[in-house]
Amino acid sequence: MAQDVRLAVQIATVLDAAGLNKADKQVKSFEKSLKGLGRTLGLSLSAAAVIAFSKKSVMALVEAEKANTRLANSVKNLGLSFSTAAIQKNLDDISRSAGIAGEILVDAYQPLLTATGSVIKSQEMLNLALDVSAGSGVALTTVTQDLANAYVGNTRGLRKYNLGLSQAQLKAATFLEVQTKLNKQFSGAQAAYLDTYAGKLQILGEAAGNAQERIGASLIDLSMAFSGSNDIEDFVTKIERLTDKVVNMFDKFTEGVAILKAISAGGLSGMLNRIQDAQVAEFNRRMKRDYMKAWEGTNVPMSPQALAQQRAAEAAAKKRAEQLRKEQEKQTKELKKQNSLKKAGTIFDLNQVQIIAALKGKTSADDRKRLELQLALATENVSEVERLTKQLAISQGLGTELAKFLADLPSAKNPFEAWKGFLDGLEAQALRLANMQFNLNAGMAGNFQYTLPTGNFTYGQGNPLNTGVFVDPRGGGGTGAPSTVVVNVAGSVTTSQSLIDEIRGGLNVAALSGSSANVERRIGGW
Amino acid sequence: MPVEVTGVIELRKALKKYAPDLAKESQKELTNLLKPIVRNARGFLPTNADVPSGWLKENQKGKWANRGYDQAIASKGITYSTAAGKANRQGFRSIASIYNKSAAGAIYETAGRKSGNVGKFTPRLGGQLQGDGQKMTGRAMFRAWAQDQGKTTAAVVKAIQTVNDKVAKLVRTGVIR
Repeated sequence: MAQDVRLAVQIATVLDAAGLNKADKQVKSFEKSLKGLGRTLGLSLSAAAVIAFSKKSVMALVEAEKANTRLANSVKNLGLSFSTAAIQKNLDDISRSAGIAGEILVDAYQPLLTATGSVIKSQEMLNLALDVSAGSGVALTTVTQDLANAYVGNTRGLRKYNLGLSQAQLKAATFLEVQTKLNKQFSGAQAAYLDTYAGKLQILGEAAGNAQERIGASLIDLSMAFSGSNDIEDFVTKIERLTDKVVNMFDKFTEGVAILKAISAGGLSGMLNRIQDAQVAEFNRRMKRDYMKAWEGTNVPMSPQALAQQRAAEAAAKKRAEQLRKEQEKQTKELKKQNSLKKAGTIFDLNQVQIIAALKGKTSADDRKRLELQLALATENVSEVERLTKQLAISQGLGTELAKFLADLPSAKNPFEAWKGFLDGLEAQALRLANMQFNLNAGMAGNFQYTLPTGNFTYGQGNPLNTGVFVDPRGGGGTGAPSTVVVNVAGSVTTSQSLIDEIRGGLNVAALSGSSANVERRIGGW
Repeated sequence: MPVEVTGVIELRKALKKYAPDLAKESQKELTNLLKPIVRNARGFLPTNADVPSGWLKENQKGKWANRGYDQAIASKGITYSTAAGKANRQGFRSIASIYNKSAAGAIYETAGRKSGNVGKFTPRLGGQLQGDGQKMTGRAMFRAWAQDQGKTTAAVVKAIQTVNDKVAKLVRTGVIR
């Protein structure tokens, strides 16, 4: 562990070589720097300025070239490499007229091109984006990204432009509608902005930037020729080295001034000490300024304290994460617990008990659905409620339609349904006939002609009554005297009930044969 | 003046990496060289009964609470280190040092080395100021160091040299590649 105690005996030491110079080396370099003071003063100021400008120009050019390469690559990948020149020209024109840096335009243009795949459409959208950006104050790259998203149906990003459309309307809007709306709202904003002083300054700034890039390009060519650099990166490194040298010269000059002051501050005694102090102070100043330089290209090692702090921070972060995880787990557990309690509570809910009991029994499909829906409502199971409601609605809808359809159908009831009534009626008639007594009174007049059946009648082939005698019911030959009709029944018909049965059977046979009974199947009658 | 040894830090790094056992051994050897001086220096510290009672830690309060003398604390304060310290303004880092860390120990060590054995407090401390030059003079640690007469320094350098030779031999014989 490093010790910081002043009261110590240093038995053995080692010179830490990192960036340190011994005093004699410093004195020697100081002498050198004094010799070259005039040259330094004369050259370094102008050289530093030129170098700084050159470096800036070169870097601007490098950035612009990087952006152009990116765009060219995108265009090529989209199979539009034939349009590269046209796109570049268009962007240059916009850059010049709108005062927007080429790199920004490239970055803004790229998503449009990728989304549309059309150069013309992209340019049209870029022009719109310029207006929108100027009108809304949103960065151009953001606007083009939003437009590109809207082009493929994602209109969420357009909310920030306050188009007066609701979220639902925005979602439903086509790109053409969005474009029209944006055009209506922001058209001419860019032109208006460029007419302002700020806009004009922007154009001037971009023109200067372009000039810098061009100067940078020529400087690169010139300087690379002089320096023998192979590429830009190599050249930039050389520029940095040159800058370091210039800075070193300044440092030496500053140190020289400090030493001169130290010499003139007192007499000969202690002069060496004063010089050394001045050198140490200068050294410390440089170390303080360039303390990170020693670590260029390497990882900065950490002191044990810093490592300990890092470890502590990591541990604290881990602890926090663990704590959060535990809290989340606790919350989840609590929710689960509440849910299970709620669920358990429902066991004693009478409504639910009844529903569940009903579900256990035999029910029709529709009723089952209704019961399930009731249960879902009782248990607040939203998804189940929605599902069952839909099913039930469909089911009910179909039932209603079916009922309506059936009601419209012609009746197709049991064709034998009315038989019983008919037969009962027939029985009554037969009874009535059997008990009939005809009283012919004088009031009756007219000619009555009856042909008495003769011979033997077999069942179904003639006289079902199988009677040998049929008496004219008028009797008396129209004299008005009451007469009695006597039916002599022979064969199997021996009683009135037998007669009725025979008549009924015969009628049935006739009806089923469809000949004399005249059955009306549609209405179920005779 | 400390001796300047070059390449020790690199040597230690190499040792830790390629011959950790040797690294431990060399550290232990250095420790063994420093321990006698520390022991000696601690022996020069007075007991609590020998210092002015007004300076005793138990009688102090306020900002002097930590400056009061206690032999145990002062004794613990005299210690050694073989780790590379921070670089000083000239860029030198110590690789073997002895310290007198406690406030009371430092007072006992240095009292009177500038103004002499005068006043009401310094003469009552007793002990003997020994050493080369004002900055290296003292009653405990510096006295022990002065009495050592550079033997430890030589031993330390020799120990480092020995380790260096051992490493060189290991490299020569192909044990370390």
